[in-house]
Amino acid sequence: MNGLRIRKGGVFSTIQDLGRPQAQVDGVAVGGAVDRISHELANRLVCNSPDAATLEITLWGDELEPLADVVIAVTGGDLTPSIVGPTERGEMSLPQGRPVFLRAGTKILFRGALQGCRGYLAIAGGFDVPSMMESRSTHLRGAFGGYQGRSLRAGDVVPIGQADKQVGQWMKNVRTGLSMDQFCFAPRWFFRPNDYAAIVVQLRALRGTEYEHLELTSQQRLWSSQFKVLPNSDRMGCRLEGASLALQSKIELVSDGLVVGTLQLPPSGNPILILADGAPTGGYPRIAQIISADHCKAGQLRPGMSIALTEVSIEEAQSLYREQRTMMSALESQIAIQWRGMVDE
Amino acid sequence: MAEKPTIRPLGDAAIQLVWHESDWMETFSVVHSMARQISESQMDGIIASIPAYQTLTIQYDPMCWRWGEIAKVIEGLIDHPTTTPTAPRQTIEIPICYESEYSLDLPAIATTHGMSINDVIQLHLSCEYFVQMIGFAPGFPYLSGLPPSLATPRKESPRVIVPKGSVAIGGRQIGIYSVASPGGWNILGRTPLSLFHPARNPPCLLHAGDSIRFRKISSDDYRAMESS
Repeated sequence: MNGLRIRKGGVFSTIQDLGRPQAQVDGVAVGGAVDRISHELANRLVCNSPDAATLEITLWGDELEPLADVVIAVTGGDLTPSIVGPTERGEMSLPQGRPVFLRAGTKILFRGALQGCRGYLAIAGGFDVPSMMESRSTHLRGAFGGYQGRSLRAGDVVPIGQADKQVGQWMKNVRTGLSMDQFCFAPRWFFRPNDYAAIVVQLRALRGTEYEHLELTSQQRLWSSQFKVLPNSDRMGCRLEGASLALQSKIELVSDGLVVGTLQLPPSGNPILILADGAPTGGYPRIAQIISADHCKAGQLRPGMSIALTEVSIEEAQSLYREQRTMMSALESQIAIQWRGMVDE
Repeated sequence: MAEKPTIRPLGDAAIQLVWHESDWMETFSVVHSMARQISESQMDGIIASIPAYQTLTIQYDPMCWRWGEIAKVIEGLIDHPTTTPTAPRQTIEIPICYESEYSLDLPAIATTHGMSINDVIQLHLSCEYFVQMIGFAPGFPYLSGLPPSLATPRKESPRVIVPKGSVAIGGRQIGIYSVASPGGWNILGRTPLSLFHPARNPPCLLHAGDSIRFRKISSDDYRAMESS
């Protein structure tokens, strides 16, 4: 069986796709890749559809091994991926942001997060785990979806689907050109549209539903100070600490809608930024709302990094989102052109 | 008849309808009637609509809708409600075991209200409950109908893990932990029923609008039902 074998589990790696928005009425988190732009790009690079399942890798530690020849692409935060050939000789860095042909038995290692927090590994054909509630994404809290409803660990073999015809053709071409001791081949072209080098990440936001309930000084602090990302952050939420924020008076809210990007203020005074696995409803005051175009940046926040918020209007936010989608469409066409070039040669 | 809802954005990809009634039961039918109306309208670019106690959150694709456009369309729906009859929901019996291993906070609940443990159990069993919404966790029902004399404030420090199936009181609300989860509600008892199963259709045992009655079972019954 073709599959990706996990030789060593990392900090936290799960199978993700674009999530299950329609399941939110059942109390299920929307789920899916936290940085959707990187997830989608990784899929496009290996001729998958954008909703194919990828591996979302957090920080470092994973050692992976394809059981057959594969084409992969790694995007997102720079987790310094490297590869070692089947003969165990010569570790070299894995080229990112482009399709890479790997021979069966090549080891893929993630050495550590140099930039950002999460890397995405797409494999031509996608990870072929069963779809549950219309998605292949791992729902950790509900212990379903993805690979057995959990993060990956040593010994797991994740099945791989059927690669696109173009990829099959390219693999054939590559194999004929490679000598037996060569285990890797990648084109020179690459796409890395996002840079995650910043340590203080600027996020654009709208005022939240309960923003007016903040004390006036807290309202100013929200936009003028920095908030540090705490180590107990996860896919449910990014936990932040910074200038003290307080409400004018205690308010009791009944459970109400939450969406990805909501910045909640629990009684502790430390805000929580809701990410993909956050519950669809909650009862804490919502003080700000990170704009959709910046969700991918929020998904790359690593403990120790900080955020600073800038206020924008809803009209600006929506036009920034449309610009981002236009950029992704342009990338998609450029990648398609590169692929045609590789197969026609 | 409930008043008209107001609308507000929730970020740049969701719009909320907000009803300002304090009566949850009254709001319930209008929230769900509007949710149905939106799903029946089959508008493009609507990703999900999620009912809560007093709001309906509609997630939309900003590639299809600008804020001003979606707000106008939703206002139109509010002004011309189609009153589709509410589908009658079911009454479901939930077995519950109150024995000490399953009811960690029952003694404290009894003490808080100056009642005997047995009085708390009898009062809890005597009432019918109503599923106001599903939220917080997969299949987790928020129930109304708790007698005010059993209302118990949330615990000062939440438990790291509340076991799956725990029936628990949080203020005036009562809920059932459909999956094991951290939580600050007071555990009254536990049900062996599985409230959420992703491979089942539908995945949730309970739905908004259902009525619930609890039936007392022994720990032997509990174990038998759990293993079946």
